[in-house]
Amino acid sequence: MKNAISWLSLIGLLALGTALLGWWAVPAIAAVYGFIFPERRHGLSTALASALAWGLLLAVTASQGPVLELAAKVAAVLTLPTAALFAVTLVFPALLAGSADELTAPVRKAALDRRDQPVATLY
Amino acid sequence: MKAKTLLRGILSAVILAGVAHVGARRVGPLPPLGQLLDPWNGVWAAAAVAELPEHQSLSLPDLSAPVRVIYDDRGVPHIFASTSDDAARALGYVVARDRLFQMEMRWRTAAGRVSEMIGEEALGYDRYIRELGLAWSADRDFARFDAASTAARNMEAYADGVNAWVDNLGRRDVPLEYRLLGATPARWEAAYSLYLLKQMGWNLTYGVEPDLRRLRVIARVGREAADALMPVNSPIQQPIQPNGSAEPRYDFATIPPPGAPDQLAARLARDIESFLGPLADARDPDRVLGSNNWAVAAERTAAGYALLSGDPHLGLTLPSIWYEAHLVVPGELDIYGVTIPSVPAIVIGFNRDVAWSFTNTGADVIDYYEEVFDGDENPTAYLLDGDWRSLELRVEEYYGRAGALLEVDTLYVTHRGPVIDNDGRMLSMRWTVLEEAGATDALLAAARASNVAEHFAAMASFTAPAQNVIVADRAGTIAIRSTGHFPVHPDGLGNTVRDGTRTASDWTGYWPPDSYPQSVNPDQGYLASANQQPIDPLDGAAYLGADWPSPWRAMRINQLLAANAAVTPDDMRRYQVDPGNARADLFIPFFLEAVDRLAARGEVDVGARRAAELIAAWDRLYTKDNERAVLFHAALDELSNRTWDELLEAPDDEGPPRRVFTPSSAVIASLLHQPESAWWDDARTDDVEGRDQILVASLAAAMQATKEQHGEPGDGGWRWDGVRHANIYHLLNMRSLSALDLPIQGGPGNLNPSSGRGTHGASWRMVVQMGPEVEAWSIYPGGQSGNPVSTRYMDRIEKWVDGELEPVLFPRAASEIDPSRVVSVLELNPER
Repeated sequence: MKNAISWLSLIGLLALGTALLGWWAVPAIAAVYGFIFPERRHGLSTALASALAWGLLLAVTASQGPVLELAAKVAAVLTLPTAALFAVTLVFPALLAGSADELTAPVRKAALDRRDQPVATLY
Repeated sequence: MKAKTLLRGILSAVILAGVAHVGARRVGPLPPLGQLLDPWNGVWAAAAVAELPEHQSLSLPDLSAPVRVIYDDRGVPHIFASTSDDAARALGYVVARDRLFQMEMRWRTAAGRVSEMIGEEALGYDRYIRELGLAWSADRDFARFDAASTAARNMEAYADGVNAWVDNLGRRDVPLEYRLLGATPARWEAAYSLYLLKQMGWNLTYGVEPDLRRLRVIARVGREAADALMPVNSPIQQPIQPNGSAEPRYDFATIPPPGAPDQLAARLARDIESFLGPLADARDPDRVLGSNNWAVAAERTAAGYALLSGDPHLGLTLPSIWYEAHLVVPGELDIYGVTIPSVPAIVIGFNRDVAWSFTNTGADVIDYYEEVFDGDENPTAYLLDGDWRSLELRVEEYYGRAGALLEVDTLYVTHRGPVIDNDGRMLSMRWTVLEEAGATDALLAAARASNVAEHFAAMASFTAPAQNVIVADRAGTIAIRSTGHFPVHPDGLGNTVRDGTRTASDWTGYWPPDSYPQSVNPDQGYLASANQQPIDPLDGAAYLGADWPSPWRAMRINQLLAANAAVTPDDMRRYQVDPGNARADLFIPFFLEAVDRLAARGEVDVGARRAAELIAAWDRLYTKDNERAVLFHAALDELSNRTWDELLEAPDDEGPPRRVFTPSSAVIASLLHQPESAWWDDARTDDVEGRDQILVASLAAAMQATKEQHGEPGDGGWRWDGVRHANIYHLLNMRSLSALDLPIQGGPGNLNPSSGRGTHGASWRMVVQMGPEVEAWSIYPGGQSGNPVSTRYMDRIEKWVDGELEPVLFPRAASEIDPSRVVSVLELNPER
């Protein structure tokens, strides 16, 4: 339950961060998340959370205007199938968030491990 | 375990660095993906901001009083302001809101600063444009403006309005194109309004190549033949200033045979071409740019009120070159029409008393001078009347997308204008467009005119690009005048390269406005212009230009107007897309008679005979479902190819030979009266052909080519709307943002013409009835918004294709607008 709440909060944070700060917020928030919760193996779940966060923002944007029409036009400019543009839009934050999380979690874990070693070895 | 963790860490770092890199930086043609894909602030946001908010209230710096902007259900902003400066400020704001990217592209295109946005691939274009000096002359003109003048104040206020939008641009509001290019909107400067006018001047001089083509023709067939192929006077006279005859006057002079090549002309042409770039193959027999306007006097209209039609033809783009707007300043201004995003004025439109429109005059307003400099490398002076006169130096720096310096050029300027430097041979260029500009103040003053005389007086200061201004007022007066600076050439002509070492070669002045071609309330009861020669040479005008476009459109509109003594607004609308074609009317009898004559001698093959039958049965209308126009068009192409084979030039490289010039179809019409002219002989064949042989061979070849391309006649492949289309490309040529393959009624020489590529056409159609209450109808191919997913991006195209017009709202006050037709209200308040 606690994990689910933390994960849902992550989705909310990623969405909010993107809306307020831009795409850079995604790796930054994921990195902080990985650093704060290093014990959990959550690279994939963080990636999924970021994809869902961007999906959520996309859904809100779609409620405000013709996202499908836009996707078709922009995808054609980029010579992509329309579905691929949606896919890239979801995969991009997932890669950012997953890798940032995976990068910082071991760093934190290593730091904690070092801190927890017995002080007696100094004698 | 530790190794595995390390490996994961390294892998993650690599992925993160890679994705962050493509997120933040451009990779190949791709813009930075982070900004692009962001579902809230990135490209997707264009969907969220596609429509106008129902109500918005905000502060604008320097407003003197609140301004109310009401958008009607056609997306037209009605701007109610207290001063003209406030109206200009609000106009800048609303136009930037809808068309910011277009505005930036326009000034960058005119300034030669496209590389900064697009990248190094635009450097060649930028260098060419800066050598022309459009922005250089605009900046110079702007510096000369009296800061207290209406024009200067309005341009500054307009810039303030644009910048109010740019400075407060939310991340979601950034236009789609900036995201696709990975660019950031730049601030606006007041002088950019003049850049646009200079650029229009460049476009409407038909580029700067006519003199060059003339040199190429002289080089190929000698001066005497060139003079006949590019005649100073059109062989068919249906002038803008009526000559007393409703019918065209045919003035078919003898065209001398091809002469010996001229080596001097060839050398000069090579020099100019090395600067302007190689001339394109001139296969398109008629210029693609053209416009129509006409007016009908009150006594020849059904309602008894003067009618005016505005129908300028330009390159078609999305968003459109035009933006429709209504400006109201009580007691000073109440004007409706189209502005060009960048200009703080309504360019074509009407007020409560006067309506007006333009067509391009196409006068000869550019000359080249061969200069002598004091050195080939880094010259400092040029020879003039035996003395050395200092050159003005311009240092131009070119920057790339990331601000890196790409190139530095030193350019030279004589008292005539920019210098074209070609390996030590120097040509300077004098061009009215680069002279002091009087367009903005003239347009602003004309908007305040209350009758034809005041409009003419206001437009007297209009300098370039020279325009045929048609005006109708509420008193029933109709008038037309070719307006702009027309140079007085020392030898009476302007189509040769001159000796630059003598001031005697210089222009001696400009025509006084009283001597411009013009007419007020002619007896015939109507006036029309379609880029034809403005004045009949029999009426004694001086040299204004040469090689005028064939007057097919002018002939057709004169024919229609002469035949209707009770014209209605709907007639005016129908005429704008009339399918009739004066060129077909003239040429078809010659084709048919040639077939008859040769058939009597047994010299006509089955193909030619069949083609003649099909064309004889044609109603000569370019309607969408017509299945004969395509054959006639092919026959004219074949005729041109066979007749002008002497103008084919051997290529310098392995490319196919190019035709250096294609005489207008009016010149071929003239040649039709010389059946044994040497021009008819196709030198590529062993036989010696005359007119009839070429006409018949053209028909036969057209029949074969049409069948090869479109199948058998009657199988549906010959429908005109399957052959010719309008193609309205997005400014960046992105197909998915464009409107392509639009079926249209009209072809070459029609009032609604179509060019080969379909990229030019009627850019704005307007009909105004000058009754007690002015009524107007309009359309343009596009929409008010520059956002490709807005419902206002191309909402007008369907009606434009169908030749329909929409009634416009022209309220005196905000309260007169039916609330059901209001889609958005913008309150602009002074900043406290």
